[in-house]
Amino acid sequence: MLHLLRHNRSTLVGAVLFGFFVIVITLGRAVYQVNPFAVNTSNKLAPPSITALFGTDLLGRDLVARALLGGAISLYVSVLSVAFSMALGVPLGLVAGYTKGLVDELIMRVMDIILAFPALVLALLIVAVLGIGINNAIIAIGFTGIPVFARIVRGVVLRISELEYVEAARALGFGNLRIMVRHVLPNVRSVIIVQVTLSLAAAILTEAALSFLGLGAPAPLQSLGGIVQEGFPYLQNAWWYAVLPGILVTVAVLGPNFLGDGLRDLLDPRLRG
Amino acid sequence: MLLAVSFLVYGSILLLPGDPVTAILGAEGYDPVIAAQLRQQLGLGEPLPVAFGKWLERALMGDLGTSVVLSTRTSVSTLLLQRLAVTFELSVLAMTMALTIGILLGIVAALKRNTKVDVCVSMFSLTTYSMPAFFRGILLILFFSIFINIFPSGGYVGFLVDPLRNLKLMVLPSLSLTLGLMGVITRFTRSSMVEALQKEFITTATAKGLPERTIIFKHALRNALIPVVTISGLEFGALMGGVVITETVFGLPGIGSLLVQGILERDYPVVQGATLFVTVAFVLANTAVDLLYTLIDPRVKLGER
Repeated sequence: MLHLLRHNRSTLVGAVLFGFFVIVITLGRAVYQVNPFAVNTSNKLAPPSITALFGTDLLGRDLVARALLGGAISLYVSVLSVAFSMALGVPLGLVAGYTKGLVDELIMRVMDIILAFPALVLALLIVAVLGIGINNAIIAIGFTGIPVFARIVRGVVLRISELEYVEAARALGFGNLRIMVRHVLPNVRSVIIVQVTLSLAAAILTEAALSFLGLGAPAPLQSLGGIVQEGFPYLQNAWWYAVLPGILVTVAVLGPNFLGDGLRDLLDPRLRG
Repeated sequence: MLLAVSFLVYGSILLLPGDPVTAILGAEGYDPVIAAQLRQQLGLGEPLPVAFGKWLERALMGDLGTSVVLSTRTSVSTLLLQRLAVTFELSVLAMTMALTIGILLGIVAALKRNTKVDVCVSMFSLTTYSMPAFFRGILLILFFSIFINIFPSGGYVGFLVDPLRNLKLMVLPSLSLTLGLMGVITRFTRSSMVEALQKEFITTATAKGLPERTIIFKHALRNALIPVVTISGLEFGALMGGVVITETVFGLPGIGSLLVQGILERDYPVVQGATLFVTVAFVLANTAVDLLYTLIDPRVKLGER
């Protein structure tokens, strides 16, 4: 009972943290109406105060306003990249697991090759080829996430497609596509949900890393990682510039990580310690 | 696998918009002599398998092309070799520390399961693991070189030049990497240790009156380490990603920062060389882990999937 509560707690903490981040980012800009682009050079690198909770940046821009905008960009890029990984990874895993044989072998080999690259390094290579920009960052991060979805979906599908009800559907003369989408896919849902949360955490991290290296969303639309990079040289005199946006990224990653962990334990009781 | 990886690294150049050579050299710095040289190096104009074959042959002989940034114009292999020591030292330090601290914390958490200690360890590992690599570095710099100035915030001196200074400079970067890597190791050790401690042979060992230390380290840990070994193979991937960021944050002249510099300067041969190098190292590390696996667990035989 005690550990059940513990894992429920981690789901709860995750949901609260991530919900908090999403609400602050989405509603925050409607409530907090300070222009993130308003330059005020007489008030640059000002420490956090009542009027500017996060302080101001090198050009005297309000850092709360900038962090809210940056957070929205981080979230936008990460959510779309996970959608990209899922849109390609899930069908690939479904087809591989359902058809087995040569097609399976072929698809999974390609996935193995993608996985052979360290994720961030592959994302960097893709950005190097495609160039810097928001859409290219989404493609780069999304591409590295495809094999994870393909692998876990394939694993579940391999098991499910042996079950009697799938056999029954086949006996009824349903087409393969219908069986895959209507009968097999719904059973993979819970695994996909857990993976979406964990992939989201990873995507936020990769996005932050790309932006920190100056390879994410270009100025003036920097995401949180970009703001941290900007503030880094002023760490000595203006610690808030890099640290406060950095904490925001950490919260954004912690949420889905907690959530995915808790959900996984709830769905797979074997892992409970 | 290595062949497929190199093909992808080579082939990526064909995805560059327009003519690859123009794309690499850029419009303003276009020099027909260098362009022709590069065209030959990349084997453009020849059928893809032939061009790739030649490129690979040269790569295997250590010729990864020349940097196209005019000021440097050094061979990519030379650049990689110059920077290898930094990355190697950083990786070894971080991986060793991460395994030591991670496994120890995992054992402690498993033994004190469901107590405050366990919860604290879990929270700590999840937090450091959820922090962006650059942010860990920045916080370490803030605390250890700005608030209390005990470690330098960046720079590099070769180990052979000044060993003490070198180690001092390496403390924060390797600690930053360690904190990122050990979270996963701690969590895996904990859960597999918990599982191992519930096995019947542990009860037997306890009944036989063996000392607790022998039970934990010789009986339980040996079984618990198997999944930890697997995960540490995958951790090399995270390590390589972390190296790129950490070297940039701490201004270390390693292969990771070379890769970033290459991308920013659109120095494509450098990007290719560094990517190839890092990925090959990752694949080899994973192969080594697979071999290690058979040593720890005699039940696993190679070649069975």
